[in-house]
Amino acid sequence: MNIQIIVNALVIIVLVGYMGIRQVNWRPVEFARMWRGPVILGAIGVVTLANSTNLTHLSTFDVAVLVFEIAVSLGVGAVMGVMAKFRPITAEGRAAARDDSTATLESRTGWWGFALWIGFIALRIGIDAGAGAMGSQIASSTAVILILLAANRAARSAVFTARIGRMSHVTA
Amino acid sequence: MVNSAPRAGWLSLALNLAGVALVGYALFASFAPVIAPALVAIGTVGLVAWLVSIVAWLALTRVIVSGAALRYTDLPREVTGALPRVIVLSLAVAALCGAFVAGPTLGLGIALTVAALIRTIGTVQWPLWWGILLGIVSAALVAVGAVVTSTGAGLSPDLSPGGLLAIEGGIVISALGGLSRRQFRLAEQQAEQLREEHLVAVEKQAALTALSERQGIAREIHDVLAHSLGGLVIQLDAVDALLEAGQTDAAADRIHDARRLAASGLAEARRAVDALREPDASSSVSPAALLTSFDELVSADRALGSVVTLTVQSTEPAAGDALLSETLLSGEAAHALRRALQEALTNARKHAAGAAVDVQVEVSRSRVLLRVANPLAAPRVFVGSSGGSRGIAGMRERFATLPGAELTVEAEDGEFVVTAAAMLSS
Repeated sequence: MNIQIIVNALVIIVLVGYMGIRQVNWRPVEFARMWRGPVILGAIGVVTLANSTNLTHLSTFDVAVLVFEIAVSLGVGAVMGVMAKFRPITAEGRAAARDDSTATLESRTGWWGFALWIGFIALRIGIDAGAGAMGSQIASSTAVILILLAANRAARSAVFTARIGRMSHVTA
Repeated sequence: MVNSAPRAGWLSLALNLAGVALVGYALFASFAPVIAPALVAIGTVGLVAWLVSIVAWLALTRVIVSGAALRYTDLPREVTGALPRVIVLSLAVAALCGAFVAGPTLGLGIALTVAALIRTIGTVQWPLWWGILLGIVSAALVAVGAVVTSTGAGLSPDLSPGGLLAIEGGIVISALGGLSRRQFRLAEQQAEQLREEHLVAVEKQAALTALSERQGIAREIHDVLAHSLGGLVIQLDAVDALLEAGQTDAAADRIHDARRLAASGLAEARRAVDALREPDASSSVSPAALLTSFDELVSADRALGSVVTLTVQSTEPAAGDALLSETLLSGEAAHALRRALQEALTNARKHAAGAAVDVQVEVSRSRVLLRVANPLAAPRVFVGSSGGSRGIAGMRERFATLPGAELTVEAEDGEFVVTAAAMLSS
């Protein structure tokens, strides 16, 4: 249990730092990468969850916590997608775009996005602690963190796609 | 977004009303004795909201019917009033209340959420994000409702983890159903828009056809009238001068010529009118027949006092008459060449009266070439108003529509030269 908590804490710290850097810097908008991340994270999360937990022992409470966290994560991701600003891609951004040389925009969520992200992490830790105290088995597992991260990124990507589609519709 | 409404549909209305009745019956008959009164109250609020959305929707369909011929998306806000807002809000309340009591009522409440989500996401006039947000919040609220009611021991019958997953699955499926309905409606709207655009295009096409026909008629009238009336004016001027000089015999000759010209102009006008009445572009003409009509035009012009030389040559003298009778020229091309010669002769008479006009016709296996040249330097004597360059513009238009035909009008070496060529087929 102790090791799990330490691993969890490390994962959270690394993610918070990494996400923070990504949110405040301009990043090229690459459609393929935008969706590949959430799909891979989600797949790993689901497989890990299925392997590490005896699914027949899951309580209604476990499922409820998981669903609630996924919904919150989707919501936060969507809000981040709405908060993000776009600008035409710069030469540096083009150099940073690894996979998609056709990227024409870059985005930045900014410090408010970072704050939202930290708030979300704090909420999640709170839910973890509360749910753990109330007997949830899976709330604090690493697999769930991956699933939530995937949901967050997927919602942000969906909002990005819709916004960029609307922009090109207007300018076309 | 606001001036919009779901469409009318009696089956949908009946299903919604049956849903309200069934859920209401099950809530009060099966769950009211078992679950907390507060949960029954929340469920009732959801049911009432569902009913309100149905009634508001009915009222809106009435407004649409009375505002006949208007599509509901075009209705102004003064007509629809607050109805669309009432529908959106009542659907949201129904979805959220249903989601909250879904756990304790073992899935019964989700019927409200499903109905509201399908309607909210499936209505094209409302933004998609609103429906999706409602779905996400409902999903979270189902979890909250299940946890809150199960921990306060004895409040509600126990819900299995599988049951909770099934309820959440219902929300996902209803969102997908709403999306498919939305796509269907969008496709329908686009199809309607396409039909309208198609109609506009057809109307424009018809207008264009009418315009080009009018231009064709104007061209014909110009050519026929300018040629024969212009000639008549010259003849009558001459008659006038001869009579003043007392040469009545010569004047009588001129009058004969003028009469012949008028008669030929009338015949030409009749032919033009006939051609306009029954355009027969498919009929073909042999070069020999074309040359005969050239002869007629040239001799009519000579009768007006012009000096015209007509030379016909073949690129293959050996073939001789065979070339003239075996190859064919389309009716339109023959007509265009005739008109080009007529126009060139008229112009020469107007702008270079008295100067010699040289007409050369060259027939080869593949084409007929007409070249009309007259000196530019001749003194300009205008007969009446010249009518601008309408004649040449008409010639250009005619040749532009013929495949493989060419027309050049230029001044070279002190000569004004009109060259026209048309393709022959064997």
